[in-house]
Amino acid sequence: MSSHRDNVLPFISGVPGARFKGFSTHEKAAAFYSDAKDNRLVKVIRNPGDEEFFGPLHVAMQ
Amino acid sequence: MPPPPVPWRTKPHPNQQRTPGSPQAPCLCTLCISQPSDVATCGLVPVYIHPNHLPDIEAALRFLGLPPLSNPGGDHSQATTLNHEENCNHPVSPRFQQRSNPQPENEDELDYLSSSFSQLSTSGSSSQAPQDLFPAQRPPVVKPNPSPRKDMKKYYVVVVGKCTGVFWEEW
Repeated sequence: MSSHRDNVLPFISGVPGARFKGFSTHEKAAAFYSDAKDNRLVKVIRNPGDEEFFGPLHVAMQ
Repeated sequence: MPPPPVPWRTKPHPNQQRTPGSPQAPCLCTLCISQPSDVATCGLVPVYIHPNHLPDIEAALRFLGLPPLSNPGGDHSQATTLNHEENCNHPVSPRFQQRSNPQPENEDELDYLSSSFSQLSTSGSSSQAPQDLFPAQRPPVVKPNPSPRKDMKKYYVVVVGKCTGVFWEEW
């Protein structure tokens, strides 16, 4: 059975200080992300070669 | 409108197997009258005797040396049936043996029985629907077992990672 970490593992693997949180509804998740974004807590950390897999950096942040 | 009644199948009349030379006078009793006139000849004509005349009849029988009445004080219909059965071996239960519309012997009896039962099912209370006889019952409500994924979050927020944002289920 997969855990929350397994679900977000592609986005946090190899990222020091990665942060993630699970929610039961989209509204709560969106509100949490909006607050984090307003507080400048959202950070995109890429390693060499991640653009080929995850896409360009300017679209990595919602 | 229910279908017409289908009579029961009966055995051949006993008098149909009578040996030659037996009396051929038509019988007027209750059972034989219901049968075709050319086959019912038991030779006995039951009559109703008023109770007030019983002493005179019995005196006459004694004078002639004949046996007394078999059931002088009993029910008329019962005496008729008993006397009739003694002489021509008719079945005792005429209501199941009498037939007004004989069916050919080569037809399937199962069809008759099915028709009879279908008639019985509709003749009692035609206005009563089956759902009235058997009240509708709802199937028991079975609550599904709690899913093992119930406590799992469907939406994930990645604040620090290679991609950030709100994600759900699988990606």
